[in-house]
Amino acid sequence: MKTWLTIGFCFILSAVSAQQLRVKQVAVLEETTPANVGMSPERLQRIDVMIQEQIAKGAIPGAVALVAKNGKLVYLKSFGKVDASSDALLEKDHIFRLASQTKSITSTAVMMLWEEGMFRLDDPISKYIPAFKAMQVLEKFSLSDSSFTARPTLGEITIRHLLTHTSGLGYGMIDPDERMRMIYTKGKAVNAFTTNDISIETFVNNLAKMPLHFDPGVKYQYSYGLDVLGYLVEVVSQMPFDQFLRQRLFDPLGMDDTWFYLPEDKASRLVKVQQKSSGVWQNLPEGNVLADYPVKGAQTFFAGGAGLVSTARDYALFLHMYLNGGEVNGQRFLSPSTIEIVLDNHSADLYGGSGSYHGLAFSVLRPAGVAKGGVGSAGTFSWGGYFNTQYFVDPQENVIGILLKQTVGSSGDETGWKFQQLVGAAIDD
Amino acid sequence: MSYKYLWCLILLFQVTVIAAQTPTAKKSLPLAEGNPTAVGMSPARLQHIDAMLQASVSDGDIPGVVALIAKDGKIAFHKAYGTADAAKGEAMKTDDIFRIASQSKAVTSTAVMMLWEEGKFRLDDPISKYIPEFKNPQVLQNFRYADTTYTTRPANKEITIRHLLTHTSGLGYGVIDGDERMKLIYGKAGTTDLFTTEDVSIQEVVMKLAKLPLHHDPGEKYTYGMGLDVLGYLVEVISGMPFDRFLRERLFDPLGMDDTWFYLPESKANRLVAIHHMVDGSWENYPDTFYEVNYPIKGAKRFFSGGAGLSSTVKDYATFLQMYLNGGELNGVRILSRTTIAAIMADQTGPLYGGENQHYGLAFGVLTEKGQGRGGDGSVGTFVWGGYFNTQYFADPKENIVGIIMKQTQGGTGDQTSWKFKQMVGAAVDN
Repeated sequence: MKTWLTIGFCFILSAVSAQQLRVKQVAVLEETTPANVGMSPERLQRIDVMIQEQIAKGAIPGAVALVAKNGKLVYLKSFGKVDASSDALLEKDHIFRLASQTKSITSTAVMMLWEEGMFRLDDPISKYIPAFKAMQVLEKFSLSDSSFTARPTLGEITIRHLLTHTSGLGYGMIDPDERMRMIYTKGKAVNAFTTNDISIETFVNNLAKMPLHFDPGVKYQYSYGLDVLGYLVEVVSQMPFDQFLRQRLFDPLGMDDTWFYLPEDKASRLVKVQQKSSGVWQNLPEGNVLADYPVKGAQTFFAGGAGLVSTARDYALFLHMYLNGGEVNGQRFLSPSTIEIVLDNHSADLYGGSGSYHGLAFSVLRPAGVAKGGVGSAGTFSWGGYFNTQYFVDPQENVIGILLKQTVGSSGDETGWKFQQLVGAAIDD
Repeated sequence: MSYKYLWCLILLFQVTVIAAQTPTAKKSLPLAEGNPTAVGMSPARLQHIDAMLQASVSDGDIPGVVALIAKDGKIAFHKAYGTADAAKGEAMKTDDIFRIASQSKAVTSTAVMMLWEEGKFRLDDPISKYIPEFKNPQVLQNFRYADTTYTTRPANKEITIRHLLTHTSGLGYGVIDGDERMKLIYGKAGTTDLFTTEDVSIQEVVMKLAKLPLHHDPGEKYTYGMGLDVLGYLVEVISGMPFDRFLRERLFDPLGMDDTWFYLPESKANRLVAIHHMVDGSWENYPDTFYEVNYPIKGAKRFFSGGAGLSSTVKDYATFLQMYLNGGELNGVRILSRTTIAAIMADQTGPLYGGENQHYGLAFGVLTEKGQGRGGDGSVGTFVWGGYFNTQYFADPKENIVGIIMKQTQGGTGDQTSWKFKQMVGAAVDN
């Protein structure tokens, strides 16, 4: 018993020391008045009006919005209802399904291990997950039985391909190519949100048997790449992916409300997923996996592409780490030089056209993209999630904006672009 | 109603007017006279400008002119030369009022961007979302001069707000359109294109405009046109206010631009400069043609042309430009965020605007690095435009300089003051 305790203690110590301790101690995301950081309180107020209008129009049932500048919180408000079946109001610390906002957290984990010299970005993934050796590109498909023919790929899938959605992997049920949807379904490679008892190891090995859309590196196709990388983190770190994130990222950053599967005492703060039916917002029915997965079921599947749930504040803590050059409160997560690499163009012109490019799991605004207006300064990085969540980070203005809703289906929601436009216009210095 | 109540109402009105703009912790002073030396300009070199303008008047190149130079928010030069009205024999004064015509465009685009900042629309929204008459635009195909009939084909996309701000919508410009066919089509439809004394609203004109064929598919070319007139009406639709009132309450009053109007109040009418043209070697008052020369002070006074309708003074217009140079703020009032100004000054039309020396922003020409290298046009980022009656301005954000020169003429005159003024203002920087 004593030995176990000692081992446990050593483990905790090494987990802590994995992030280098540094001396600088500052309060993170403390509240301040907008004027203190050069933002206009009157103009931030326009966000209230806008969101209230959108709720009144029925475009969204509710939202939590957060704005931070210069490491200070200037705006954190909740609007509307958390649950269509009651009058309960959405609150600032409510927990949302992040879905694809998980991707940048997974890529951060990957880059933390990369910084330890564990691999190179251009290493073939098969070096660490042998099942990805000898991948094939889809050729012919038979609709009658979902059988297909395939040819060997030119070149192997690398870690960089997986980080930039250029691997050729598909995306299961949200793949735009129906053939792929059928093939992936048949191959049991369609998990994103699940209550089933499945490990990412099993899932990723199924995935490796699927044909690719195209040869690695030739196109951009939104995909399961980050799910594969969640498993890579397990292989390289020898830790379950959820534990790696908890110990190396979430605990040190104080992201106590960010989980694949919520502890019981936090489950009541999970926001209901709503969808509009006959003009009325309704909760997804009980038993729908999209509603249930964060709090029910086997809770063994740690999807690096979509699995996390979190609060606006927690996600801001994560993004603040990036704005702060990879360090928060005396702990270094990434070197500033690594962040520069993360935000550099890794997808040539395969993604986003003249306005933006794809970095390592972020969309990044090019200088020419500034002309569009309302999308931040050059270098602004952003992404969103399936359940209608959005975020952006403007490194030049040192601004973070996060807008969380929890809906599926289309409802005429315009809060996403309006929020970013209003935040930019609220800069007043 | 007693006067006391009236004053209360007026006071209340003032308060809401101010609240319509946002206050800001930043507080740049309004433009005021300053010592050239104190802001790093050479008095001796400013004298050269004085001599140049005087010579232009005495040589008969121009009948009269008012020029203003401001640096770092201080007016270093503000002078009037020559005559304001040849028929009446009145001398030009520094606070005389000029028809600024296309210099109205930047004011209109500012109003548009103020509403954009409130999240009312996106620049790439189709205009038909707000003015449904623009749905299903058509492009001109064949035209018969014999009876001015024409055929059209559907445009390949809708006109967006950005197209209208950047003259890429394909809309024409009526009586001043470069294409004879368009001139005839607009004329037949009875559009009011620029200046008028008639009893017509911008809504009526925009409704007519929406039915006319385009030069080309939206977004394909730069064609100077009535885009900003359409946007003046968009401001009415979005804000629910007449365009003149929107500008007064949201822009002119907060900035103290008390001499900028579509139609001058009676008390200011006598400061309107006459339009002149050269007849047999001497300057004479210009007659009424397709418009009445006195349109700013007579007639129905209902047409608020966002593309051409305003009259103003050099000091008022300098105040407007100084707001831009201050990053959207003046005198403790925030009109625009500097992040919005960054988008306004960015290259919006790429190669469509033509030339490597300037790109086109949201209703300004903006000097490129290459353009700076040519010399005499300011630093990179200098934004400029001018007006039909021979007025010009430039604002150099790097040097924090505003230069405005206003004349009021028609026809070719051998006037060289515009380029000389800009070149010599740059050369007068002495720090």
